[in-house]
Formats: sequence, structure tokens, C-alpha cells
Amino acid sequence: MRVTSKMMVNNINLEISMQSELLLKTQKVIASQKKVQRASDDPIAMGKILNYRESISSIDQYMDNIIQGKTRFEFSETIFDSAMDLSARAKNISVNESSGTYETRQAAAVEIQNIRDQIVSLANSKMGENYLFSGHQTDTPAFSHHVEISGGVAANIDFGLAADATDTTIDIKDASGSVVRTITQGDFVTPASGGTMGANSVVWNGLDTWGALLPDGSYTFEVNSNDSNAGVRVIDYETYNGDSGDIEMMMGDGVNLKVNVDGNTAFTDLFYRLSRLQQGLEDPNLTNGTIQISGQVNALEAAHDQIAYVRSEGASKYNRLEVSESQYDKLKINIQDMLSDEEDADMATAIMELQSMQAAYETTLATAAKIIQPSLVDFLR
Amino acid sequence: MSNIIGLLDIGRRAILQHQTAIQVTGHNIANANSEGYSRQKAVLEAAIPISLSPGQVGSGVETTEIKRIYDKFLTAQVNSEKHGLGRWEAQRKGLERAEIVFDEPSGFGLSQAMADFWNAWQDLTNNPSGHTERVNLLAKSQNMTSSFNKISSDLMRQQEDLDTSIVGTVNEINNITGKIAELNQKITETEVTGLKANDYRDQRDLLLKDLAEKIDFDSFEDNYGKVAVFAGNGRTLVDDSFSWNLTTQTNINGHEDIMWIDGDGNLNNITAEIDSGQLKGWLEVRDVAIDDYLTRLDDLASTMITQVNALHTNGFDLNGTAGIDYFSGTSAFDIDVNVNIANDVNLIAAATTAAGVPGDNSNALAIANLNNGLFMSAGTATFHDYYNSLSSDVGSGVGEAIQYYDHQHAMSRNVDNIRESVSGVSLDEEMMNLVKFQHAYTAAAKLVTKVDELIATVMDMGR
Repeated sequence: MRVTSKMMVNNINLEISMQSELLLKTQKVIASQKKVQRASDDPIAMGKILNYRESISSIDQYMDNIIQGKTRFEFSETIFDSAMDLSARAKNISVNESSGTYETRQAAAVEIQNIRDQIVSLANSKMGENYLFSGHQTDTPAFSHHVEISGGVAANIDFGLAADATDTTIDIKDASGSVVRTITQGDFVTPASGGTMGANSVVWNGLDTWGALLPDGSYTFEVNSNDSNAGVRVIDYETYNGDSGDIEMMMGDGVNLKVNVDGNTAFTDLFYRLSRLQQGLEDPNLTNGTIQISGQVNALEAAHDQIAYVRSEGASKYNRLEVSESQYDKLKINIQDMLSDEEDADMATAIMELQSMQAAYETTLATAAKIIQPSLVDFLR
Repeated sequence: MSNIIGLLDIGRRAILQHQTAIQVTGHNIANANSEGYSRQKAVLEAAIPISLSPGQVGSGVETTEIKRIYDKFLTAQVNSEKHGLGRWEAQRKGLERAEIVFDEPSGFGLSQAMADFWNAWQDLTNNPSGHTERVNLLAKSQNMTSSFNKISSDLMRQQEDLDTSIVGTVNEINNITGKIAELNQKITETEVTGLKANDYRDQRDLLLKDLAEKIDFDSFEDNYGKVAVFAGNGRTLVDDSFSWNLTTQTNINGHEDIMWIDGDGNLNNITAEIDSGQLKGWLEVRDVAIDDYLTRLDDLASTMITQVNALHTNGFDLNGTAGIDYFSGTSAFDIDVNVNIANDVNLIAAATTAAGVPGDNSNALAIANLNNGLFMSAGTATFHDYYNSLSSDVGSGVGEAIQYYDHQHAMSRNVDNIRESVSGVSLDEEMMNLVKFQHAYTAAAKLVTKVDELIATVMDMGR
């Protein structure tokens, strides 16, 4: 076949260009340590790579969620632990004081008051900005003498009493602590009497002492309650302010886990019993007091067991989260391996390829130099 | 009886013809690197002999023609391969550019942005009233919507760029066909006188090769040396010494259609009739590939908008009011986070009931779960699966175009090489020719000197 110099030059150009393109590509693979530089290099691998990356991202998020869930359960666990200690102590007091004297009972009453205050503050624990045991009302303490009004809509003032009362006064206070309204016997619509043992609810229309509508917001109140027949004061206790909403977390695709405990379930009965116990301890009539005190022994045991129950529910959920966490750990490692298989370049292979390509390139250049230079012109005189 | 003056004549002719031969060799050498040049050869033949009594006596050499060495079947094949080469090169470049827009291998593409978006909703479920979580969700949402916007507008801009290329190429085609028509005229005029218009033909062939890369056509040469060129379904581009023009017209999609102007000045839409060449490559990328990508991207964005908004408007924000639309816009081009939410993250509706605010995270849970929902491809694919298959298809498209291009390139190169082998100038060969003709020239000159001596001898005889 007739070969002209132009043909040889064109061919050499093309070969050199093809080889330098391959060299460039290999160099990019080595620099980035990724086999797949563009989707077109291997579309199927690219598809797998995107899938693996998404799985890893998903797993990371679920593990994040799990850690937050575990923290919450750990925190709740310590709270329940303390609450159980306190309620066990209260039960012991009730056993002891069933046959106690007036002096011991007075001292015990003070101790019960302290126990009540401590458990209230435990029940109102916050994690970050949110109250743990208020259901969905995470901006409201679970147990407090607290009423919210908005837009002139009448609100309920909820509180509990340890015994029937003959007169009850409620002082409503604003944020600075000054009394804005006092509700007395006469304002009670229900109950018609001064208050009954157990939960009570009074309606307040949001008006202050002079009949003006107070600004929207939350107000605290103080209850003073007496039984004038027995000549004793009636102990009031905080009722539950939250709701029964469930707070769930995502621990897997379509798998949700409830992480909150409703304060009502855990603590309401305990507060009622503790205040009844205190009422009994304070009763100057020892006989009546004994009846009241001994009546609380079994109930306090039951309230103590109730807390134990929610605590163990939390513990088993915590275990479930731990199992998931370790499964995700293993799964993530597997997927990362598979991703690396598809995506990462084997450096040894790539570098060897680079070297052999370099050798080929240099050979081509040397050969080219030898072929294209001489022509007949050099040899004619 | 021989003629001494005749001898001189033989010598004269030999010198002149060899001079011509050397001139042709020189022309070849000068044009060794000219694009599209076919080597020429002076055909030297023995001149008409004179009949004398002993027999016929030769009367020297004459040049019958200067022949252009070329193979017309090869030329047709070269052009045919150029159609394919032009098309696949244009298609490959266009698709590669579209692939860059998706930018998946780097890990910063839309796939990651979408994953981050769904994760941010899950973060919100862990603390629905948290300001940080809301701000983070807003940021990730905006990141995702910007990615959608950017991919969409980049693809659209690429379509506009293709339109510009198409318009430019149509103008070049008109230029070329005009020149071919002119050359038709020149060639006919020259060849009517019996001379071969070698260089004009080379020029015309080069123009046809150039044209072949741009658009596919059929051509044939008639007995008068004129080439007629037809594109599409028999639309005449060049006939005799006239050319017909192409032009462009904006269609309902806002892109350029290719129109042929017929003899009466009417515009005929030949866009669908073009099968190869750069124009076809660009049309394929613009109207088939990128359109498909944009449609699928829009589908993804609009489904996401619909699903998220449906849940979000059912929920309640931190103020206890019903949720507004989370996303504004209807397609990948204009999807954005609702400007009211961007200004106040408290409007993000994480709760399903007004009373459940602020701790209720069930709406946020439901929205986060959309990630696992089968909303795409008639209820068979998740958002991620759908996008994954889209970007896979982008990659496969490029891969396929590269394969076709490589094949076409190799074919084209082979045919070019064969043509070069037949018509190309080999400097070694020309050097040999130079030596050959020079020797003959020198010998002829010697002949003239000898004849001169003979004549001098004859003159001396008469004294």
C-alpha cells in the first residue's frame, strides 16, 4: 500500500493523543483515588455508589436519633430511681407513724413536705428546653399551680386537695409575684362547697380584681384551704398540666418508638397519696390521723410500684435501641466496604498501569521521532 | 527521410514537456500538506509518429493531460463516514456537558442534598420546638431547592447554547453551498474548453467534506462536471450553479427548527428529515436527551412539592396556626422554600394538632417518612430511586455516545488513510520524479547541443 508522509504523521498524532488521554485518565484516578470519575465511566457502578451513599447517610441519621433517644431514657431512668427512693422512704414513714406520737408526727409531716417538693421538681425535669413528662406540652411544667389564659377565653384552675375543705382561697399571681385576683368561696361555681378531696377545678374568666381583662399568658396561683370543722388546714397538691400526647422517634424505615412517659401515669397518684399522708400527720386528732396515715400504706406501695413499672418499660425500650444501634454499626461497616469496592481505586494497580502507560508513551514518541525524520531529500546530493 | 530540423523539434519538445512535468512535481511538493489536495501527474506520451518509407518514426513526447489522481468512490465513502463522525462527536460533547451538570461522583450533587433534606426533618422530630433544628432544616431545604434550580437552569442554558450552535452552523452551510455552486460554474467553464479543472475540483471536494460533517446529504456529479447536493427528503441544496438556503425558525418550545427555503420562498420544516451530521447530534441532545432529563427532574420536584405541602398544610406550626405551603413553585426550575417560612422558622409545622404544640412531632415524623414512600414511577419508586435511575441514564447516554464516536472515528480515519494512500503526495516519490525528469531534461539538452553540432557540420559541407 502506498504510504505518504502525511499518513504517517496523522497516525502518530492520533496514537500520541490517545495515549496521553489514557495517561491523563490514570493520573486523575490516582490523584482522586476514585475509580469512577464520571457517571459514564461505569453507569452501573455509579448507581450502586449512589445507593450505598444514601444507605450510609440514612444509617447515620438513625444512629443519631437512637443516641438522642438513649440519652432521654438514661435521664428518665435516674429520675425514676430517685423518685422510687423517695417514695419508699415515704411509705416507711407512713408505717412508722401509724403508731407515732404527736411530736414525731409533726417532724414526719415536715419531712413528707420535703419529699413532695423534691418529687415535684423531679417530675418537672427538663432536657434542654423541653419538659420531659408533660406529653406534647413540652413548654409547660408537668406539675405546678399554673394557669394560662388567652383571648379572654375562660381557663380552668386545677388543683388537688388532701381532704374535704370548708373554705378555699385561691390567689392568682402574675410573673412578678403580685396578686392580681383572689378567688374565694363565693366565686366557686363547682364545687359548691369549699373543695373536695381529690382533684378540683375552678373556672376563671381571666378578669382581675377590678374586673379588667388580664393580658394573655401564664399565671401561677396559691391555694389556701381549711377545714373549719376540724380546725385544720387542708393540704393542696399540684395536678397534671400536660397532655397525653406521644412523642415518637424514628429508629428505622417506618419504625417509630415512643420515648416519653406521661407524667400523669407516673406521678399523679403518688402526689395525692403523699398529701393525704401529710394531712394525716398534721391532724391534731391522733385517732383520726392514725386512720388516715395507715390508710396510705398500701396505696403508697402501689404508687411506688407504678413508678417501677414505667421505669422498666423505659429500660426495655433502651435495650431495644441498643440492639438496633449495634446492628446499624455492623451494617454500616458492611456497606462502607461495598462502597469502597465500587468506588475506590486500587492504588497498586493504578500506579502499575500508569508506569506501563508511561513506558508505552515514551516508546511511541521515540519511534515517531525515528520514523518521521528521514526522507529521500536528505539522501540526494 | 529524417529531418534535421525535426530533430531539433524533438529536442525542443522534450525540454519543454519535461519542464512541465517538473512544474507539476513542484506543485505537488508545494501542496504536500494542503488539506484535500489530490496529487497530479503529467501524463507524457509519445507524440504522433510520422510515416516515412522505412517505417513510422517517432516525433517526440507530448503531454496529453495533467491527471488528478483520485478515487471518486472513496470520496463518497469519506463523506458518508463524516456524516456519522459529525453526529456522534456533537452528541458526545453535548451529553458530556450535561453529565457535568449532575455532578454526582463528587458527592455534592442533588442526591446528597436530598438525603440531607430528609435527615434534617428527622433531626426536627427529635426536638420539634428547637430553634437550631428548624434553622438547620431551612438551610438544608434551601440547599436542595438551589440544587434543583441550578441543574434545571444549567440544562436549559445548554439547550440555548445548542440553538446558537445550530444557527451558526446553518449559516456556515449556506456559505458552503454558495461556494459549491460557484465552483460548479467555474469547473464547467474550464472543462468546456477541454482542460481539467483539477484544483477547483479539489476545492469543491474539500467543501463537500466540510458540509458532510455538518449535515447529511446525497450528491452526484453530472456529465458536465456539476455536482448536485440534496439534503433531508430530496431538498435541493445545490444544483447547477444555484444554491438554496437553509434558515432557522423558533418553534413552540422556544427552540430553533431548521427550515429549507424553496424556490417560491416558502419555509419548509426539515428538522425531522435530518438523520446525521452535527445538526442531528445537536438536535438529539437538545430535543431528546435534555428534554427527557428536564421532564424527569420536574416530575421529581413537583411530586416532592405536592407530597410535602399536603402533609405540611395539615399540620400546625409553633404558633398553633395551621401550616402553610412548605415549598413554593411547581417545577425543578422554580422550586423554593416558601418565603414566609424562610423569614420565620416558627412557621414550620411539626405538630399534627394545634393542642399538641410544641412537643408534638408527629407531622415532622410523617414528612420525614416520605423519604421511604413510593411516589414516583406510578407508585413503584422512591424519590431516591427515581433520581438514581435518572443519573444512571445520563451516564449510560454518554457511554453509548462515546462508543459510537470511537467506532465512527476509527472508520473515518481508515477511509481517510486509504484516500491519502491513493491521492496523497509522497515526498520520496516526488523526489524520485524530480531526479527522473531532471536526467531526461539534461539528456534532451545534450541532444539539442549534438544536433546543433550536426547542423554546423552540414553547413561546413557546402563551402
